[in-house]
Amino acid sequence: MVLRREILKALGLLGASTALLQSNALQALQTIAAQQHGEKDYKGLVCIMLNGGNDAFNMVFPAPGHPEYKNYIHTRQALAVPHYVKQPQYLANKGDERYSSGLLPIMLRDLNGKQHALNLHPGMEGLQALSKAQQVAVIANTGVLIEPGSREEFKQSKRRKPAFLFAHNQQRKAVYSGTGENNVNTGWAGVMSEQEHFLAMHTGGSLPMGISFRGSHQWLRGKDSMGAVLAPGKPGKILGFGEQGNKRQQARADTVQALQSLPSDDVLLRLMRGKLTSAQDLATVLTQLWTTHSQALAKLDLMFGQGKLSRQLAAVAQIIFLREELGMPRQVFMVELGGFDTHAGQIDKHPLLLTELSRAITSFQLALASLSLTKQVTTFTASDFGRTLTSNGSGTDHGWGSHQFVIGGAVQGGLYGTWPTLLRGGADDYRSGRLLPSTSLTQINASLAQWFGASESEVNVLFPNLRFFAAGSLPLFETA
Amino acid sequence: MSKSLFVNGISCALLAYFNLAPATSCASTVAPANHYNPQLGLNVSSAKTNAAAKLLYQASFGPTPETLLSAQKITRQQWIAAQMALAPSWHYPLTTQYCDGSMTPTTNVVDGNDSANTNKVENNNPANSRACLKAQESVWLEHALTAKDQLRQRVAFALSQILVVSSKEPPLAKYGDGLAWYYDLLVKHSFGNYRDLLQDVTLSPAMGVYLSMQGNRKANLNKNTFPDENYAREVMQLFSLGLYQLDISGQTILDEQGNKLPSYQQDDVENLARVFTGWDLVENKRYGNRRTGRYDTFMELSPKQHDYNEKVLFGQHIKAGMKAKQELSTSLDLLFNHPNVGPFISRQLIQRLVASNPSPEYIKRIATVFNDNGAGVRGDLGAVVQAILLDDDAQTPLMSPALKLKEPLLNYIGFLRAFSAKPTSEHYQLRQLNGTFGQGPMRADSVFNFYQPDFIANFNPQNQPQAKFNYLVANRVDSEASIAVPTNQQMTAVSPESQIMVDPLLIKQLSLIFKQTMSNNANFNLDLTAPLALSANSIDMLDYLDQLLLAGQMTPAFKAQLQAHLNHIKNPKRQVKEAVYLIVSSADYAVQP
Repeated sequence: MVLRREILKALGLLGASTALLQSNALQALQTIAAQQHGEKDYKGLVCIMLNGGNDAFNMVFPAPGHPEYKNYIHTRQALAVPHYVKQPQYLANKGDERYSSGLLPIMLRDLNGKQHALNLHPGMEGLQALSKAQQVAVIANTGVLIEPGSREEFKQSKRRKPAFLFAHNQQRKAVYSGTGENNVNTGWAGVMSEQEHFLAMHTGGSLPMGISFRGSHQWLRGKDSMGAVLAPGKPGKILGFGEQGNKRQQARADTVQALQSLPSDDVLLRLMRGKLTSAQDLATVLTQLWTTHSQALAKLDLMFGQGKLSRQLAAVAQIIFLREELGMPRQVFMVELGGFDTHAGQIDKHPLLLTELSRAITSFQLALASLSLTKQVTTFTASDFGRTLTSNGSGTDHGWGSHQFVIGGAVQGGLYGTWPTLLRGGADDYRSGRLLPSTSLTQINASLAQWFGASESEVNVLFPNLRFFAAGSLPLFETA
Repeated sequence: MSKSLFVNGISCALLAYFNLAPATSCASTVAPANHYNPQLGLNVSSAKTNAAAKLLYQASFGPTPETLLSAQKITRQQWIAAQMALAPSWHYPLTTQYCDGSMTPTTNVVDGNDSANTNKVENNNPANSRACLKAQESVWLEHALTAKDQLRQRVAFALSQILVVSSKEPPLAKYGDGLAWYYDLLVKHSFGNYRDLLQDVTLSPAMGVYLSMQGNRKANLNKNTFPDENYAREVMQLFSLGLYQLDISGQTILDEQGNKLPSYQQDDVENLARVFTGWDLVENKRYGNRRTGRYDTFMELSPKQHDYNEKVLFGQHIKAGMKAKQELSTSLDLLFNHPNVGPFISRQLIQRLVASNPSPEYIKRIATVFNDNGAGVRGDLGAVVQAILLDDDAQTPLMSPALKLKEPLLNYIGFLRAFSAKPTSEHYQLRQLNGTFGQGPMRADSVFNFYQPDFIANFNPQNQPQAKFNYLVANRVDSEASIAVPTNQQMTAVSPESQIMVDPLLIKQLSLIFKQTMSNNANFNLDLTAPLALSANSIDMLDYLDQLLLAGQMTPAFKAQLQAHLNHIKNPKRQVKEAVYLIVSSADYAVQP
């Protein structure tokens, strides 16, 4: 009971809706925590990619009384959350209790000590609780920027802006590179994993430092390596292959291995042989680990819902649980929730996505608390770009600046960056309702990398453009 | 190669399979190899068979014994001409038939003249809707496995990966029939003109809904709303121009600072977005509804929602007040005539059919045909497809470096076709197509398709921290053998398909191949008669499988390894199955001949 209270307190969930917390999950906590021995050196970094370009202007928005509230309502019109949430027929049509709680106020302090009265989207109850526990940093109007500049400076090409603004694939590349450059194939987490001291830490480990649950991923790609790709759920085994003690299968496995080891100077053939070998090895290692730890892993899984992001974060929690067996003192994870390219039907789609986002994150924080890793794992959101402030009557278009979250027990909750003017044609509008970011993603990334343990020189290698930003990396983390 | 296995380059096993064996020239396929009469070596070259197999992996969903036999009797050019003359196999009529047993196939509206006769499909019942999506997938599989017009179907699948729509956009998951109707546009125009295709795609309900051009509205300043830029942007970025300027050989044109030059500006996107206003589903209940109008006929204009003001596109003025359809046509002409289109589309078609890394010269030769088919016509896809397949670069000799990896789904379908697979249930079905292969017909996660055309696998055998932990390779004793590769062969080349060849999917694919080969409880029955007839001599059997599955590219070392494995197996049927499994699950099979 004590443990439960502590976890709830740490999460700021005491008094929060109990619907968030399934009782069987709570029972599982004690068991699992008891199985984890000691607190070895460990850090994990999780990127939640909101694929398609999240409309963060409806994820965090001004509360009545905030100076930007009027602009928000005026600019967004029917798309402003208070408008559509108040429509009773909307709630009735959905038959959903989710929004009955109405808006979710949060009060965030900025670095100057000023308080900002904001609302979270009504589907994000869990995040409100985490925010109250000071575990959520909101970074306002951030986006890919190679160097700072004004609208005029960018338009007249006096400053370099990221190439091919508003194009999904190019802007994602700029996000993953971490510097706003999109003419590279590497990602900052992948390059970080190839830095000498991270390499040294992982010698003998069973998986690379980077793990993606959404396919081959640029963020985890270094100069010479790619992250591992896993799938949520119990790992599959390969039928008819390598079962211990089965002579026929063993003979088959031997032949397969011999075939895959044949010399060849054909690059594509060798690539394919490497891939098949890797798949077989991975299946072997993971199925063994899952058999050994099946009970604990199943209990962890119970803390999560069935949504797409929840499934991935459950798998992340499981891999974190196995960190010692895998020999992985540092891990970076890429998970993804898709469907954010809400050109049409945004009022129907976006609330469901944000609800899933909040539920998955809340479950994940709960799971981390059960593993006593709240302060050792940091989670952050990223997206292709922000969206237009104005709508097309049904949805929104590709933008630039946007808000993002950084979440975790090590995070110093609050508001970072500068809250923008939410007006088409306003001070922060780059063109037709697309905001010019006032904080570069580079400043967030550098802060994350520093927390993760990258040295100053490594941070400079990863983010050579950090020096262009006077404020440097954001002070997102509690100082020890 | 056991020489007497071939007559005029045609495998005796194949001839026997069809009861076509000329008794005087062919060795008995059931006789042990040492009974062959060495004097029977007439024309013993297997080159024709291998060349035919190569063509069939490039231009069809893989050879069947039948297609391999017929293709090797004629030239590449003749085969292409014969394929292009075949009647198209349509997807929509069968889909509507399958998604509701009571429904009779309808005449194809795309093909003709008869929208009045077309059964309107009501999709209000969710069970029926899921069935329709399944039916659409099933029809696609059926055509891939059995249709005669293989080249057309293969090109349509390639086009479906350029002009992407997907059931992942929620309304479309309920309109499997609407997706099939869209797919038939690709089937129809596979050898037609790209300009016609572009217009049909633009006005199709599936694309309209997928990229939200359907229901797009002119600006309304009272409501502070502006036209949706979704289709305007993607039709330029992905369906016609590409992001940056290309020369005719598909190479990026750079400015003096080495920057890529955008092929359009945000102004163009915003103006084109206004062109694409006012279009909606026919018989829709309310403008812009996505679940009530018709998905089996082209969209129609709602003049009240269209922006009739002047637009400027690439510096060209489109006058105010022009009729919406004419304006749309004029705008599509501007896109279609942009010099990027030839190299941009040609390169991607080459990548889907023949080679991941076509040389600039290859792209240039094809783009030149795209720009002018020789009769002054631009955008002739039939001419483009023919040029791609007849190019010298598509006909590299046996044992040349691989040109591309197969698409994972096509890899598996090729396996099924090689053994004339027949479904064990009523319809052609594979469970979790997308979840197993990372792809499926109109199942991409986004308009950016299953993989990027420029995806480079990070595979550097010279210097790999990779081997330290990526995929555990370093722990293997035998890893040394696979590390000796010349430095100039490092992985700088693109391999789009490798982007979806990730461990969890490969594990599923390997298991599926095993189950399909070994288990009695599989989705398909395989016809193993021909290899079984040769199983008395494992070398003969392997030669047959080599031709059919690997176009004769099996190396002696590979063959020796297989033979050693088969020597321990006595039962002929098990021998055959084991050989088939080992070849089909190999990396050698995953590269396209």
